[in-house]
Formats: sequence, C-alpha cells, structure tokens
Amino acid sequence: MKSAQVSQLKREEERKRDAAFDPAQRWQHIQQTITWAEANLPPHLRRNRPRTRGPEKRRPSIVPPHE
Amino acid sequence: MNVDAMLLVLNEEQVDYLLIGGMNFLIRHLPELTFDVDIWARDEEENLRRLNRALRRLGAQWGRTEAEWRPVPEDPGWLQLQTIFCLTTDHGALDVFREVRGLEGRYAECKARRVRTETAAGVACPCLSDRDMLACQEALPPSEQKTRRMEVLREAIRRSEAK
Repeated sequence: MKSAQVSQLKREEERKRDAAFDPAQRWQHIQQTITWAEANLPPHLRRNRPRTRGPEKRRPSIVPPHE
Repeated sequence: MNVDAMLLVLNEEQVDYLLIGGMNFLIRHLPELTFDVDIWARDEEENLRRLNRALRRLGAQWGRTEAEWRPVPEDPGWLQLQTIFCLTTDHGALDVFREVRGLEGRYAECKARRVRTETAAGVACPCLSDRDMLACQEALPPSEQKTRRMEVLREAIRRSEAK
C-alpha cells in the first residue's frame, strides 16, 4: 500500500471513530488521559522531584537560616 | 482513557505487540497531546486471535462504515480486512496497526530492540525503540511528521550512542 493510501485510510478510520464516539464518554476519556499522563511522565518531568523543584528552591525562606 | 486497563488486558491475553505513537513518546520522553493508544501487533494468525480476544474484553467497537459500527465479532477474520484500525473501547480510543510505515515486515527485529518499561501503576509495557520511532516519523510525508518529536528522538539516540 502506498504512503498516500495509508494516510487516507488512517484519516478515514479516525473520522469514523470520531463520529462513533459518544461525546460525553469521549470527554471523560480525555480527562482520564490527562490524569494518567501526569502520573506517567518521564522521571525528570514529574512534580515534586528535586530536578523539577528549582523555583521552589529559589523562594526565600521565612525562617532565617540557623535559627 | 484508562491506558493501564488496555495494556493489562493485552498482556493478560498474551498479545505480541509494541506500544508506538504518542503514548510511547509520553512515557519515555515528553508529554504530547495524544488521545489514543497506538499498538503495533505482530501480524500472525494466532496473535490476531489473541488480539481479538483482548479487544472483545475491552469492549472494542469498529465498523467498515459509521452505520456498521458495532462490537468487534468473535471471529478475528475482520482484522485481515485492512492494516490500520481506529477503535473505540470501554477504556478509550485504541489504534491497532498490523503494519507500520517505515518498518514494514520488520516486526521481529523491532521487537528485539524494544524497550521494556512499566507504567506508573506497574503495568508492563513493551515500547518501540527510539530509533524505530524515528524511522516511523521519517517515513511519513513531511506534512504529517512531528518535528518536535523527531528532534527529541534524535537527541535521545545521540545521547545513548555517546554513552
């Protein structure tokens, strides 16, 4: 199958699926995907890890050091 | 979309597959806007039978036309109709590829290069390697290529080769 035909097939498949999806269910799946994606980011991009905590580290502390 | 549920069922049914596309890129590199799971299934009769069992457990639906959209049948013969299927499932959108552009006829060697990883929930996930992910992108017409993804993949390959 030629590349253009594959592209056409993929587009047509996506079009059919979009038409078949229940919009409410689709929206629910999108929300779930965002939650899942956050939990599955590569380690260096996850929240609350030392490498991603730069701005927090730079924030001045209320308590002066050594007190 | 419950990606873990989809992968878990594929694993339980012992489907021979590789995770490709945006979810592969998201797990291994950077977040990318993607709303479906893309898998490349080994194109072999017994594997397609296992895949069909998994799809039925996932509540997959497909149709040749919108009017024929319905749960996938018990007979896996429909999987021979074409090489790409975009399905709905109870857990979200799932794209099944029997052939992948740029990697035609090379499933076995791509599988040998796969990266075994796990999702955050601990579900095993066989991922297409960066080199093969890049080959897929390079085989696409320029208008369909994801340039940012390609840059990141090239950089990841360069870094792994420098080690």
